[in-house]
Amino acid sequence: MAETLEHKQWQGTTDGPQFLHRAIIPVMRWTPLWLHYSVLVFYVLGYLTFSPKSRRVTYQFFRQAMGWGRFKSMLGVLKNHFRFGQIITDRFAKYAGKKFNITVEGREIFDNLAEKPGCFMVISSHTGCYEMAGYSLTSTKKRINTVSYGKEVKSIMDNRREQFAVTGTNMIFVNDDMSHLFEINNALRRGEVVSIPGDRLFGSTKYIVCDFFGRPAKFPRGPFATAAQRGAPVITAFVMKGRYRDYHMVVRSLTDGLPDGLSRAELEQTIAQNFASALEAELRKYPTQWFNYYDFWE
Amino acid sequence: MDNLVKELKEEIIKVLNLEDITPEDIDETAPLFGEGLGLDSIDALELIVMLEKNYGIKLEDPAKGKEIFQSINVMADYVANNRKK
Repeated sequence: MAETLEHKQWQGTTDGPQFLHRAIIPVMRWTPLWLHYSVLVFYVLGYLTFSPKSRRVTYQFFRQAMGWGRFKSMLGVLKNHFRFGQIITDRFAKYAGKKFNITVEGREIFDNLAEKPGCFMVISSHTGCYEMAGYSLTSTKKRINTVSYGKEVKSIMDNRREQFAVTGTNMIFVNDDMSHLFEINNALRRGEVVSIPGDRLFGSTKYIVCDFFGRPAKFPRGPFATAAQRGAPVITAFVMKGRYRDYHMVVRSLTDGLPDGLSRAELEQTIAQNFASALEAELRKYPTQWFNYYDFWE
Repeated sequence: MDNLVKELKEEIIKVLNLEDITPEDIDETAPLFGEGLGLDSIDALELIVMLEKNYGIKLEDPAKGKEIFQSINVMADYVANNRKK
């Protein structure tokens, strides 16, 4: 069921002063990654001390969704924040030209759709480092458009734009004037690929309720409504961090094997539920790699 | 023009699934977004696609969209002058 929700959630921008973001890239070219991870330990401890909200919601996720005990959940909070720090560090390391090993499971799902005529959508999530998918899931046949939160700090946006220009990925920024809707619609009409996050409410406040870790949770309606409206195939991709410079990407179809004759509303609901189930399955494998720092079940 | 206004109202109710609203409830001079019908970005995308499918009008310019979606009357006027179907 689609409903509305006032969105006063976590804003999802990268913390830290911009001069530091800019300075860190040249520094990273000449320093090993492990050194930055080591410094991160102190930063994470400091951050956790002064960030009760992210500490609380992460702890609740481990306790209530994962069903972990108190001590394991507290350890999980630490690991989650350290992982998040590592992933932000990896983003900058990538901007600085460092190499990462990315293995892909289900690439043929993406490649098959990229070969066929017509648009398709990739629903992303705030797990692992989805940005790494932009370097691996590329196509010579179709332009890929990534919908991104327009208020992310300038240093991140500039670097992201520069890096993705190399792979031919177009960035669409969510703006208050709704201009992003025209860009999304134009891209789909041209038969291109549109990638959009599916686990955070932004832009519209309408949502779809799905079963997520055994409880009803609100997923943004926009990505699923757009797919159902166009009858576009939908896939999801999770890029999870492994050891040091390793990432593992999993690509799954969300629309293969859907029953015929579904109404628009049923189609939206089914795609959204398939996404929620795929996200849950991935988080059960990588519980410390979900970086949505607000109460998802509120 | 009156027929087109009525048709647009009915289409909007249908595509946006506004179950509790009848065409008579929609003020044709009221803004579609924010106040008035209180539509948001998902609804805007529905309207863009509806104009394309029903009237062959491809809206590509955000500024034009903002202008057209001012009210039902403005929308009807634009459809009447630019429809391809």
